[in-house]
Amino acid sequence: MLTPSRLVVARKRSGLTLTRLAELTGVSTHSLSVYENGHQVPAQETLHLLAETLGVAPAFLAATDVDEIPEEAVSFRALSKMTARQRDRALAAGRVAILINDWIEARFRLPEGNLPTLTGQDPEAAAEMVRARWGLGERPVANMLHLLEARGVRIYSLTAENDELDAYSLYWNGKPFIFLSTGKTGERGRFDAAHELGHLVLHGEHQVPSSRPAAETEANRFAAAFLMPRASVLAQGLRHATQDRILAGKRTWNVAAMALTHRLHELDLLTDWGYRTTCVQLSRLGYRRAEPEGIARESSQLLGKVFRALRAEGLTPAAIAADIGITAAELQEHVFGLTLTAVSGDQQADAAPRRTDLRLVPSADPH
Amino acid sequence: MGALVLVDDAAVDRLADLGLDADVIERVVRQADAEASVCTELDPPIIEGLTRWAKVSRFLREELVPQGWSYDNPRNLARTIHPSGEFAIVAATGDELTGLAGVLPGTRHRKGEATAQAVAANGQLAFDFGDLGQFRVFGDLGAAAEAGTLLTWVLLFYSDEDEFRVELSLPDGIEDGRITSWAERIILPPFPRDEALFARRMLDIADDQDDHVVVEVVRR
Repeated sequence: MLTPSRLVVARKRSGLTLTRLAELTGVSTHSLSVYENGHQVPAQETLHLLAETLGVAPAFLAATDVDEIPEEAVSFRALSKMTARQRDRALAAGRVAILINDWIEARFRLPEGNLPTLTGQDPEAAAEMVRARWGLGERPVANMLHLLEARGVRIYSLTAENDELDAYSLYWNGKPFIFLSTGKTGERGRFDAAHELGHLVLHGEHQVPSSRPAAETEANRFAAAFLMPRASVLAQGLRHATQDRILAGKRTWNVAAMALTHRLHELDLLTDWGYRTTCVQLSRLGYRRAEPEGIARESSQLLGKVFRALRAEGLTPAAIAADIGITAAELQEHVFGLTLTAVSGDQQADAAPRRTDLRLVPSADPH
Repeated sequence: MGALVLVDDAAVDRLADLGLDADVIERVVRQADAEASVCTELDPPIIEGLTRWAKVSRFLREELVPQGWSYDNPRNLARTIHPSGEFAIVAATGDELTGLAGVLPGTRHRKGEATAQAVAANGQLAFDFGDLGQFRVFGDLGAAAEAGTLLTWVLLFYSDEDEFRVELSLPDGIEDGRITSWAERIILPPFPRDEALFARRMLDIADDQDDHVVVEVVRR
């Protein structure tokens, strides 16, 4: 029997309107609407048709109720550029990732949440406080994802069709989640993760985090200060740095050249004029759109361990996906987008990757 | 005279004899290291090590004073004193041989007169009370406390990029500020420099990224 909330999530995460789903299935918009309201239950064959169209198992649509992620629970960076449909799709994709997480947590004990709440703090000070509390001192963060996972944050990747979005984060049942788009550079991925940490720490208590226009700026300042602590940047002799020194210096913190340039300006180590000149030069060298000779994207230690342990028990990703009621391809996107180096090989053969832009680049060694 | 060297479980048991807990010492050293990590190249070069040493002393006291230990600082020797008054602990940064059995570790820096006197007193107490091989606090040496002299153990700690090595050791020979012999060495199991403290119970799966952060994942 259909669970209405599941139909809504499956439809939204496919990016379909009721009208479009009606076109694809031949079921009327009115019928779809009453199914989603729970006023009427579709026949078994209709349920199968819907499941097939939406790329889920019939069992997925009939499993226990799911609460949607309310849009006001999330701060979207690119909100103004997003359509309601894109936003709903991203939220529903996150909801599916939470289902995957539920499945994993039923079988594994994972690190407990351990994030400070620093509502209303200055972002720079908040970043310093989080670093101090976690014993990071002024050291560069070796791996943002591992650090966050060890502190109890659950990290999943967004599916490819959500690439207009960098990332979003939220507390779900008291547990911090970050959803990352995996189509960006390694440096950008680190910054996105630090940005979302900023939201969780600074804005986690807000009822409606996106309602404050300053929230995105604050999260960016937090991310820059967290990845490139003031004292550590001051110590690197980057005053009036030219692009050559910036390109060498960015490897200390594994950040984008543009991000370091912005940070130097923020810390008054670059004049306005120096900042503009450097930005122009870096753009010319291709650093605005991409990160030449960049680092590999960070992978999830947590998901890598989970899926290796499951594989050792003979559970393939396909079997796990089937158990959750989604396709192996969808599981792959949420999970393996973050474990590309760790979980690869034959057992994903049926999970044809939809993306071609994921590549493995040798990790740049900063030290 | 060779040192009595205790490792692994024997070391942990011996620490318990002395009213100490290996986990507490690990916590002390890690916290101190975190404090020292706020130093940058703009600090004078000695500050990072100095901070680590100073904070080991302080955090050790913060852990032990509530348990009835006391402290004093005769001639700037920062001692933390067991409730029995029989022995004290002072912290010192060790050299790269710290925490390794079968070698003669030392302090990284030459020690001053106060340490020299404390070590000489250790040697004298050992001489007065017999064979070093049976040297035991709470055994033969109870009389030492009554005589107003106490043994001075050194909490020797060393860290590199991968791990911390710590030992609690009893020096009984010193020349020119350098320790030349140890009566007893209690070597704690080394602990990795991970940012998460929960490494021990995790699934034993090597990870591809070597960043010292361990995300604990345990099968239910």
